[in-house]
Amino acid sequence: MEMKSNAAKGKKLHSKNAAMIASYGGLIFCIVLFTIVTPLKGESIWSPTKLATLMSDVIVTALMSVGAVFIYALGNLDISIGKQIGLYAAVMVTVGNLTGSLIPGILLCIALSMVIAVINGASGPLLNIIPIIPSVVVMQVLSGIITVIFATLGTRSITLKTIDYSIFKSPVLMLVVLVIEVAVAVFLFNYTAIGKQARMLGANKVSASQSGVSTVKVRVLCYIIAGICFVVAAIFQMGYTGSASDSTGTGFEMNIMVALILGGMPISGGMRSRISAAVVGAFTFSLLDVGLPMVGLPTRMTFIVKAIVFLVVVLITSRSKKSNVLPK
Amino acid sequence: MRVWNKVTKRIAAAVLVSSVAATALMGCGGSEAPKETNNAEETTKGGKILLMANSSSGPMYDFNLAYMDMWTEELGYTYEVIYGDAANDPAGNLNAVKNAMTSDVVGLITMQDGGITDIMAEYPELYVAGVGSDMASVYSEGGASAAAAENDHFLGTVAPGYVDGIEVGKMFAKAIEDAGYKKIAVCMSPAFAYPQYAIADQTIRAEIEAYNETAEEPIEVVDDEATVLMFKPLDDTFFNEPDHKDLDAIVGLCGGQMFVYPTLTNAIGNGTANPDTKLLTLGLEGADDLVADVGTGIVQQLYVPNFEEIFFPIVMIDNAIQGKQYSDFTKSEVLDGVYVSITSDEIMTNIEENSPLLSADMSKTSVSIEVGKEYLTRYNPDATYADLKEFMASDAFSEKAYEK
Repeated sequence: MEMKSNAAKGKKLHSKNAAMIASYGGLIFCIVLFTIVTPLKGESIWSPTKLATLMSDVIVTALMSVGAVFIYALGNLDISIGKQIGLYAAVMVTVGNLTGSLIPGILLCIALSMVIAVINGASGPLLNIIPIIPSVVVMQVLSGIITVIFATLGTRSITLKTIDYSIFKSPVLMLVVLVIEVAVAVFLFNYTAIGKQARMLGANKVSASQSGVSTVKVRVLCYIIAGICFVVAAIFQMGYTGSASDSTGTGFEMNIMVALILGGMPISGGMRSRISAAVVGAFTFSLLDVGLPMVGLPTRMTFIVKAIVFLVVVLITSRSKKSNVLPK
Repeated sequence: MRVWNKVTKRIAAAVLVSSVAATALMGCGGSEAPKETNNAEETTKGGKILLMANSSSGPMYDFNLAYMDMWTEELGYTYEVIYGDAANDPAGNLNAVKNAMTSDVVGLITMQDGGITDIMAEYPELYVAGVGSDMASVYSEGGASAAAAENDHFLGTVAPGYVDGIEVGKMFAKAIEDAGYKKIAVCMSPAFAYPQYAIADQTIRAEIEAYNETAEEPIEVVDDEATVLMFKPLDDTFFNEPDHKDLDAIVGLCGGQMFVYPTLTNAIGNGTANPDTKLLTLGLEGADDLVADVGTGIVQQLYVPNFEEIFFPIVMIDNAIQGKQYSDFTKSEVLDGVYVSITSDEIMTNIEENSPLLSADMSKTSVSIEVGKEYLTRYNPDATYADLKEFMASDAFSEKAYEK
């Protein structure tokens, strides 16, 4: 009887940690593989240049994904993130060129992110519609606004004219900002009511509501936290080349989804959601981006390898029926 | 059953992980570090050239790979195709280059100009040249990448046809007048992405207005300005407009076989468009039915930038890497590309049978190794940039090169 109980406990523990093991395992596998193989090709994944490339590749996805954890934990999916980044980058460059400073543009973007967060977060429960629908509408509206901006300007890309943006290329700054954002997010997610209630809502909306959790308030706050993370990500996206284009941010929401799943985030949200999934997943994704060409894999093949890695992680982490469904 | 499922999953996972490792390791085939080849006469430098493509399939893509195979083998380089951002986003292009960068990369041939300045700032030793792009952000006043024009490692570009929209407009206006069309419409890619097409549209209208002053039967250009296609095919509702039902021709200032042809074909098929409406446009798709249609069906005239113009960046980059740049090359510039003008079934047949443009058969190239060597300073120390420019503007790149 005791043996049976121990076995059940072990099974439960294994099941609970399978996602984490799979995601960390993927990252460790990539690190070990590239550490061993790249020197055979006369390269090193640990060279300062490649580490800087890795950091610049990972920073935007990681910053966005950390914010997106708050949305995914609710069991929601926001597909307007890419267009939000595009709009914020365009606003920062335009306002920056008009005022000679990035600050007004950043403040304006934070204000915009709050408005978008309220629309995305509140309209689902208030109008009793699936939460993804407002994000589809927001995506289309933002897409239209971006097109109008660039059509009016008569160009596909705009560049900062007088502002020095070289600081945003610094890997050290990227790392510092990422660490600060992760620390704040971990605190909010794990040690405050917002994070706990977000996970409760993701796990069981009815139960959370009956326990006194305000669905609308928690959702809006989660979207606001995520929105601020997206603005921070947009600063680095724009600062990478000091520019914004009509396609900036296109497909980023998919990158986030892939990073979170690679990081072991349950795609239906809930109590197993964790911030580390965003960081682990983003680094795994970027390590593949940077490492695979270094081992001589043609660029076109890297997409296939990334897809296979993604599939492996999904196979390992999709243990329960619930985690097989996309968030509403 | 549950246990069986778990076992299956684990086996599948193990197999997939193994395949990842195997696929990744398959790439390990020896050092790619830049090497110097000691010929009997002198030392030549090697290394890897990146080709930043703006597509990942189609006849141009296939041709470019075959052409790069031929020339890099001859010159002692390796090459790798990387994919720039689909919409030419500066950050996307920079990322593509950064991720593919290895210590042996010595040159970049790019078909997109987004982020060129940042790429060159990141890799100051890299030689960069363009093809199939007018590099508007480099060569336009106040362009986002204008700094690249002053960089001595930027070696110029060849545009996909005329750089100046006025020349494009004149070319189409003449084609319309010569063909005897009396009622036409113009569709174009958005001006914020392709400003030269807005100029071309205005030029077509101005040229036809001038023609009408003396013509017995005037030509009508419907609508005040071109219908803008926002990176997607012409909408079916276009042919619901009364003015669009009896057109003689549509000028597509875009990749018309992709963006106009399908809608026009449908409209003709369902009776909403004049069955004799023809299409005059740019670019070439490789599908058999589209090729068969050119000159005999809906597509009457096609102006195709010659893919063989990739010879230009290959020459410029090789001269630079070998430290033997033309003595008369002082500053980079954008060159007009030569159109392969396919205005009849006979010319289309010539292109199909005698050119490498659709087959990627390098035995049919008009710029073979033997021809090209004349412009490479490693083979011909007396070669000049003026000679190369003259060659790039010659009929070696027009449809005439493929006449038998």
